[in-house]
Amino acid sequence: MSTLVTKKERTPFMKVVRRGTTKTLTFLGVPANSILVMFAVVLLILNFLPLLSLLISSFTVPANGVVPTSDWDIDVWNIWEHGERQYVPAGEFTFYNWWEILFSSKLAVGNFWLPLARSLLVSTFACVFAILFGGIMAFMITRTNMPFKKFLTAIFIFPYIMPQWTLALFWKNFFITTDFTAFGGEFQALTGLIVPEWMVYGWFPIAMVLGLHYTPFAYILIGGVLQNMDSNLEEAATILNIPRWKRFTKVTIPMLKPALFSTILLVFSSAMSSYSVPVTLGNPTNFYTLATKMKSLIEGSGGRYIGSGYAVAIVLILIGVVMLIMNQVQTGSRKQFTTVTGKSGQISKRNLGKVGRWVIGSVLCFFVAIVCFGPMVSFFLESLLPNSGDFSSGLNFKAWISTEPIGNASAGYVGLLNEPRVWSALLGSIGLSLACGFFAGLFGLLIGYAVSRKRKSPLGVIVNNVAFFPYLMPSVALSLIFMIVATRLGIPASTTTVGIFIVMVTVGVIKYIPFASRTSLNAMLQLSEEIEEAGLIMHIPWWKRMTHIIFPIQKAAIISGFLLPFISCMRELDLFVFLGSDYFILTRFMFMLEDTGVAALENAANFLLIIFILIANYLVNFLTGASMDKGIGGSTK
Amino acid sequence: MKTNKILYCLSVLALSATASLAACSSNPTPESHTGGTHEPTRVEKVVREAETMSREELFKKAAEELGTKTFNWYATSSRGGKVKDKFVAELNKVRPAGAEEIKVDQINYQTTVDGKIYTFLNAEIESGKAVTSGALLQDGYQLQTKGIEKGYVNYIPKEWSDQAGVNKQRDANPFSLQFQFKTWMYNNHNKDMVIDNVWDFAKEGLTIDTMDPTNENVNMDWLIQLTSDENCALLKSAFEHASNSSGLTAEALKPYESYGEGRKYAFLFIERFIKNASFYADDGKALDTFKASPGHAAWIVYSKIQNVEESEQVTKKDIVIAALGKEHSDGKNPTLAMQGFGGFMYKHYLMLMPESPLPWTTCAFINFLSTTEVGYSKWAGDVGDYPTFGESINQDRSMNGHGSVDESGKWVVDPTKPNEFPCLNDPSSNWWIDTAHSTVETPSYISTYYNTVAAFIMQQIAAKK
Repeated sequence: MSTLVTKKERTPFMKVVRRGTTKTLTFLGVPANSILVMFAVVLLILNFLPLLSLLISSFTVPANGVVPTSDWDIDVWNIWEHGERQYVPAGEFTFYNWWEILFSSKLAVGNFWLPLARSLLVSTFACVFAILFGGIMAFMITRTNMPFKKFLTAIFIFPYIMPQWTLALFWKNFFITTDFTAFGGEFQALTGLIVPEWMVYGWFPIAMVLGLHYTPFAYILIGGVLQNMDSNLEEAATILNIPRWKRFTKVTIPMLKPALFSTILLVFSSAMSSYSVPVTLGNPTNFYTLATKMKSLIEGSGGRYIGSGYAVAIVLILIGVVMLIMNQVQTGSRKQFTTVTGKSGQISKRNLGKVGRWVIGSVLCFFVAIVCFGPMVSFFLESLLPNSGDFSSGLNFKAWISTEPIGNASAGYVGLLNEPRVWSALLGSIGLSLACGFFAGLFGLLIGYAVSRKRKSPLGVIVNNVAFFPYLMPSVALSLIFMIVATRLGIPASTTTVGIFIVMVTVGVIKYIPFASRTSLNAMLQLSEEIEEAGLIMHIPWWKRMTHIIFPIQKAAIISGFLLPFISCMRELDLFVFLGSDYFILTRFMFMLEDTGVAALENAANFLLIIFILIANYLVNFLTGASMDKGIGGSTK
Repeated sequence: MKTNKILYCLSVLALSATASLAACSSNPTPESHTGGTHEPTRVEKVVREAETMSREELFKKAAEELGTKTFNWYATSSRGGKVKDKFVAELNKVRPAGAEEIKVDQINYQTTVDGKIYTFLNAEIESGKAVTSGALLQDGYQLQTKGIEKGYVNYIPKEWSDQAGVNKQRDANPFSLQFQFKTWMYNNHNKDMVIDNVWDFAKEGLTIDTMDPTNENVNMDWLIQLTSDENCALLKSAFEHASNSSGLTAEALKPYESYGEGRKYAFLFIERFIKNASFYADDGKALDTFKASPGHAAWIVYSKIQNVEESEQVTKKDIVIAALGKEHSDGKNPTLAMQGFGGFMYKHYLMLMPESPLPWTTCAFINFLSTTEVGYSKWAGDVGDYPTFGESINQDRSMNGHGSVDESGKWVVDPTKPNEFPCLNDPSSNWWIDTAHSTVETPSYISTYYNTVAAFIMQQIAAKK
């Protein structure tokens, strides 16, 4: 029997199928479409599987969960007074986790509403601070004749490169007073002043540290706009005698709006889900935020409250989604992370006066230097002290060079330079970060390219937004979900094997694609499509157009898309808490050191990590011209 | 077009990969082992046999079984990993003639905290893909509810059973390697504090540096254990003792009257403890603050204080273990300096996984850690660590505070020298339990009353401002 069918013999159904196939093949024949289809499917699955898993878990009785069949009011749990209760078996569907976290009379306020209010407070102030400080810096550098610009531009990115908790520890070490410990911090030593408790622990220091950490975002995004903005508009307003404040609110601010909203989105979402800063500067005075509560609910109490922890995680994601939608509505997707890219021929520079420019420059240099170099100096000094802040017996290099165990001999670690686990952990961090940087950068590049070419198509919009979604997922929850997936694939999650390394790279790539895709998108949007079309006319294959035309032109920005995930991965802790052994990567190793109670060791490891990240950043910058600021979206000089 | 085909193939591949991930994650959970009479499993059969074997016989079986395979072990303490070379050396002594030498890196000793270890182990059990052979665990509550009920297998070494003085009823099932000890202490630097009653820690205004109960569950367990009848009686008698200077009166007990005559004391104590507590993510961080904070109290693992580095302003001389008092000079048979309970003994348990790939090796490793001097050596020198096997594998630490600092700055214990650090003169576990009335972790009690008391504790923590 022949399977060949002539044109005339085709049924209408076959014709439809054939037409559909031809259309699909034509559609997929465009590389940007193929990329979008592939990433739409992959990202949707990789984003929504964890999300679905979170959602299901939040409506399920956990393994050790306790859900009474009736009378959820917690007081009747007193079995001595009320007798044994009937409980819903583990694994069953329940609304209890949500009820407990949102409405329980005894737990909801302390476990959810109060931490939520605190998170909102902290995040709002972090945003305000980041925008004010970053904005002022950006203005001073792009629009005035202030000196020291090169120096400030070079170091202002440091607070973002450094892990958040290093800034938090620095803040604590700097401001702590003799009201808390036998020793005051550097501030008290220098000034003799004792700051109040709210300066050391609580919402204010948390907001300030998060604000400082994210100030480079604001600086780069606002600076990018200020630098490229055509000052003719402002000058026209000046000529029309429009008052200064009106010029600022009606001309400058609207032009800065996309950058401001992007900053708010990034800073607010990140601050909401920050764990390490509130745990350092909040826990000692029982100041819990939503992220610290979430982690203790997920990891603590033998799994009793894990369902409620997942519910909190979903709330955090929802807040992020709301921010993302607000940002979309306000700015439109085209402007979301890009600065005004048209080059102006004129940028007017404000004259700060002969004396004023030096005074302002010096003051800014002083403060920026404290923030940027302070942590390094502080960690190095602290690594030389027997006890944190204790200068009473001079300095020693034990934490660095001791060959004898420090502290408790049986469990102790030798000096870090002699500790083989430090070096293997450093190698682990480098290997993992290189892999995450490479794949996240590559996938981000492809996504950025495809979205830039098809940004008005629904598929382009979907991929663009879905690629950003992992940024909103709490890292701890993502880590837990992938640990379970790895184990079910037969990969022991807490080991140092190739299998777990691949899982760690996968989770890292998912988490860092937003950085890389936005960077790539910014770079691609600056590139005229005509350049590629010229290659197309010459029948140059797509991969050759990418490698021989597009990549060389936007080399620095594209490499920045690889650098951002690399640096972020180097300082990542939460994302890998459930994956790999304790000594696999440096941040996990440092986490282990915390438990020793020997602060010098921990400080030495912090110092080592910061120095390594800065060296890596400098090397990439030196060799390729790429830098973190290009990655975040700016081009401030 | 070629490129597009590649991209198309990649899409299909990615789809298949994610689909298989999804499929894998929906694997049916194997039925959990809930005890009762049943046909012994492969691992249980090995264990029953191993329990009748001498160490040497067991090691022969283990060496035969291990061969060139990898032995995977999880633990909440890294110390056992430091003697794996010694364990391998023992196995090599008895390995079959002609067999390849067993290498140290065949022992894969992984560590993690109690908040995660059961998640790891049980995810593995549920996946049906056994890799881990055994584990060193802590937290009686999770062991009972997530471990034993999941089918973790208990093995009691013959040498341990035969040892005189071991407390089989308390420590054999689940098999306990040792006690770890949390105790009350205070920083007396430039102060003249006196804490001679456990209720003094409940006094308003005192700061207690300690670990967050929601972070590591043993910190929840001891609070739950406080509600047991014996502990309630202890708290009641301390409350009524003249040394109680907490300022609390019978009025403070009223909200808890309905919990029972004895239990009201436990619930009041829990409430006051949480109010005074300053919570940290781990004991190391709590110690970091405590050692430099005159007037603070602490409830942390005893052994941590060995990490305090001496300087002009921070010294172990200022740390007073409340149950031992300020003048304490010999841990052999000290006088109790405090009313109430002196601390909390929680345990390190040793268990086999239900589908342990190398059960003989696991039994041998458990035997090695729990009944040999070399196997236990990494815990033996620490104050606050006590083997259930007895003092024969432990070091005498009763005079650890006597000695001097050598040229390199290292503390060298010498009982003939002055008593520099009274807080380090560690009594035996029997003294802590029998004389100082320390609470001992009982998994069955904790798991029975966990829900009620944990709910109360969570309320108190949530109410902290």
